[in-house]
Amino acid sequence: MINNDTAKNELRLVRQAKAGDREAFGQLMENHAVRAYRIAFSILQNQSEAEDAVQEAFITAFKSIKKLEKEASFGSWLSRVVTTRVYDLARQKQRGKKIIESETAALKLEIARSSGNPTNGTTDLSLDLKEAITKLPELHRAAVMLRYTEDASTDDIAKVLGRPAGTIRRVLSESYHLLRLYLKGDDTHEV
Amino acid sequence: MKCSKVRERLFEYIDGTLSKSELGDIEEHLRSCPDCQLELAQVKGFDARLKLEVPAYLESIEPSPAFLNRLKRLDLEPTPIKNQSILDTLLALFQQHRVAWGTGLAVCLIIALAFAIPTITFDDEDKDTTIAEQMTAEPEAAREEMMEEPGITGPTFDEMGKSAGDGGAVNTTPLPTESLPNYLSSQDGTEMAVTGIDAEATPPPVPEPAPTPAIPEATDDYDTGDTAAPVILGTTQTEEEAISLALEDPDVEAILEDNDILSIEVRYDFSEEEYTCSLYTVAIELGETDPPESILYVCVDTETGTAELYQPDE
Repeated sequence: MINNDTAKNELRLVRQAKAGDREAFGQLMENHAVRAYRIAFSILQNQSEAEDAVQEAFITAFKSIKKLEKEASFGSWLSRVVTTRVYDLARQKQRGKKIIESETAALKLEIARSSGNPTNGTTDLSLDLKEAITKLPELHRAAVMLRYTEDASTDDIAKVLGRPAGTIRRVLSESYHLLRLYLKGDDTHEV
Repeated sequence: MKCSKVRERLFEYIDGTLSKSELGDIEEHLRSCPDCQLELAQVKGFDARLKLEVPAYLESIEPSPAFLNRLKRLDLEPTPIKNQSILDTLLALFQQHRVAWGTGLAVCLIIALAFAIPTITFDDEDKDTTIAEQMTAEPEAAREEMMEEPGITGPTFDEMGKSAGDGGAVNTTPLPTESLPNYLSSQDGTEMAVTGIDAEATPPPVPEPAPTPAIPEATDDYDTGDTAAPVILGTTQTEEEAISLALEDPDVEAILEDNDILSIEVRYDFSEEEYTCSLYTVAIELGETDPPESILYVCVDTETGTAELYQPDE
């Protein structure tokens, strides 16, 4: 948790960075690099792509920090800039493969529906969650990470990922079904 | 309100972010639907666990120290790569390799001249005129002279003209009016867009004429009658969005509950019989219908996020 002094220091750095101070922004980058990388890796599941995405996101953030209104929410704002960049990269990758998320999602949802009663919520997630998240399509991973690590609402997720709220509702609902399916131990269906 | 719609909004119900009217609809449904009540309880429990477990997973990811060091040297304002024209690029290359290029150019000129000399030297030695001048001034005479001159090894005037026509910019071969990659022939012979066209895109590029048929025989590739998994095609962001919106349409969802999807294709500015859609059409081929292999057409406006279903078989 950020204590009072840290928060004040960060606010000062944000204001300096908004005025074009590169050193101040460099300090902010250093403070938030680990989290930014974690977000990028959790969605891309690839080290070099995650590193590239973070660097590009930081360059984007430096360009657009002047537009940041809620200076106290810099961390949250930066996480969303990173997520947006990461998801853009994921989409480019996906487009190259000519596969769309709807395909895997629709298939998996069908699997979830046809697999009878899902778990009753008592499964121990701690051992399997990482693997289950990895199996989700990238859009689903991005939405799940935003919801559960950034506390983002459906509308916020829609804005960050540039998708309609209705799509995000469906994606979150599918993610819920898919995660429960994967965590139930049914590993026979690869994404 | 349908169960599927209620279940999609359970996260917002849990978060308390629904509008008053939406909340009323959901609560009304929940009161009368034990299945959705059970689903809500399960979603709540699972959601609470994920709120604990997902951040823990995130914390377990560690970047490499080398990457963190690299970030300290990150250039925040990298110089954009200047767009160079082909001419600029060639000139730059020429500057870099002036001697080699000069030599190469000289060799090329010598070779070109060696080939050109036979066509130039047919002329009478006492006439100080060029081929062009002869052709312009006295084409027939020049032609006769060319034909009569035993030493001529180059092409005749007619051949030269033909050759120039073949290689020239003007090509009179009729071009197909549709873009090959975007259309396929369906089983009933109608053209079907396979990959779709982006809404903002300019009309599809006219392909080079090729000896292959104008409509490729690729129908079998998408005849998925025996395929278990649906084939879903979409290449652009807008097409993906169109498919998502079509699949979210309540009427479509209702039909898909009892049907398998054989394939999904996106078309732009499509019409068939009574159906016309100047925007995106998402064509969903169904598996278990009577008659079999019916197609749902969903006209999608990606700007407003609206979708309208049309079933030709109705």
